[in-house]
Formats: sequence, structure tokens, C-alpha cells
Amino acid sequence: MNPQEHQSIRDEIERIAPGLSSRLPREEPIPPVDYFAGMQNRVLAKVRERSLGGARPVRIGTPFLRAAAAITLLAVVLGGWWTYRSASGEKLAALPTESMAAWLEDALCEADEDLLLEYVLDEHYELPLLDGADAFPLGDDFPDLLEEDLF
Amino acid sequence: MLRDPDQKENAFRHLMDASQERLYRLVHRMTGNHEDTDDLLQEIFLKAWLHVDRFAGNSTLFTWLYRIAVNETLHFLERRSRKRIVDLDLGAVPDRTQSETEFPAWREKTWQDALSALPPRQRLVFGLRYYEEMDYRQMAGLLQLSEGALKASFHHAVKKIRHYLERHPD
Repeated sequence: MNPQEHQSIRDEIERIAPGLSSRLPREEPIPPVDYFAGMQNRVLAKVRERSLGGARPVRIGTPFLRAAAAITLLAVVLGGWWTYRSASGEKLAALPTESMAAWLEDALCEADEDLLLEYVLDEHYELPLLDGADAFPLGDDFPDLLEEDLF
Repeated sequence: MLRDPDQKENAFRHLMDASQERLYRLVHRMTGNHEDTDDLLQEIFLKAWLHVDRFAGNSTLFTWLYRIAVNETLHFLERRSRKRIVDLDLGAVPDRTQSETEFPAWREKTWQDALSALPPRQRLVFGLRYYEEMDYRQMAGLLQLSEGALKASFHHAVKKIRHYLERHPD
């Protein structure tokens, strides 16, 4: 202990908190007798154990586990995304047919000839439905084709 | 000598002889009990043994060792603090005075509690300044912090100790 340095520290403490320095103890803990000799032996025993044991065992608790957890999480996320995408794809693919069927069913029930005509033209002949009866440009064979498709 | 495999063990014993008491006090001041101090001290020396080949010589060997001790102890306190929160949540009573019987006379309980109530970094800075009489320049080199930050930590530590002692008179 350097008495001058010690005094300057006490002065510093006094400036911050007057009256405190006299209440501060100077004692420090002393370990049990022979503690250090035993501690050194334990450290060196651990060192020897590591050198004799060769490669250190895989520590599951830290980097290995983190990497495994990250891979699992990534797999779950990708799997979830793929499943969702597949299901959505199927759903989207199925949607037009189902809705079209429903639409057709509605149309048949209501016997809406215009709607039926629109469906057949669009689905089977890829022709637009034009306004008015005179809009059919297909000639005389068209009504037969239409009748065959519808019934 | 520490890099020579044939002499490493002897050299390392010398290093432990020269530094163990100071490191023990540093760690004990932070943990407040012998059991944790013992575990940490072994861990610190084991780390030093494993990494001594990487010691670049930019500081003294003791400063390098001290840095390992400070880092290990701060990490330990962080872990212990998290564990205590869990223990308290579960209704367990923290065993902070487990080894006080081994040091019956070294410090009044109030004083120990006042130190323990400080945040770890302030406890560390207070200990280095008050007990080890380290000046701020040395401390800044050791802890890689600015002298201003260290002075502020010491200032807050002293204020908090006084406040604690006023609320808990002997």
C-alpha cells in the first residue's frame, strides 16, 4: 500500500461523500490455509486431463446446439413455406374449375341461355360473346355444334 | 518458458504463485463468496494455460491475466444475476452468504451488502481504485474504458455506498 496514493483516494471519496472514508474498511478476504496449493493442483490436473483426453468432447451446449437449432428452424420454416405454397397452388389451380362448375350449375339452374352460351363459346371455342343474335359469325353449322356441346 | 512444452508447467506454477492472491481478492470482491471465487479462479488459470500461446506481449502478462479474470467474473455475475431472477421467481432463497462462516471477521455484513448492491462494473472500478489503489490511467488500459467513464463509475459507486450505509446504519 502506498500511503500517499491511499490518502489521495480517501480525499477523493471525501469530496464525493463527506464523512464516508472513515467508515470504509480496508480488510480483504484471506482464503483458507493451503488453499492456493490445492487450487494450483486442481488447475494442473484439469490441464493434464485435457491433454491426455486428446480432442475435447463436442459441447452440446454451445456452438453445436446452436447450429443444429438453426438448421432445424430453417428446415421447419422452409417446410412450412413449401407446404403452404403447395396447398395454395392446388387451391388456386382448383379454384377456376370449381368456380366455373358452380357458375355453370347456377347458369343451368336458372336456364340462362346467355350465360350458357358465353361459357361454351369461351371454354370450347375460345370465342368472345358478342352482343346480339346477329353477332354469330360461324355460319350455319354453329347451332349444331352448340347443341352437341350443351346436351 | 511458457511456450516451451517442457518448461510450461513449472513456468505456469510461477505465474500462478505471483498472481493468485491478487486475483483471488479481485474475484472474491466481485462474487462475495469463496466457492464461486474458487471455481472462477480455476477457470481463469485454465483459460490462461490454454491461450498463453496467443499472448502477444502487448501488455504485461499480469495485465493479460487480469483482463481474463475481469471478463470471466463479469460474465459469471451476469449469469448468476439471471439465475437469481429465476430462483426468486420460483420462490427459492439465494444462497449468497454460504461461505461467510469461512471469513467471519473480514468484513461487516452491511459493508458486504453495500458492495453487493453495486452494479458489477461499479463494484469492479471501486475495488480497483480503493483496494488496489490503481490510478485511472492504469484502469483505462486494463478495462479498455475511458478515464472519464471510470471516474464517473467510481463517483456513482461512492454515492451509492454512502446512500446504502445511511439507510442501513450499523
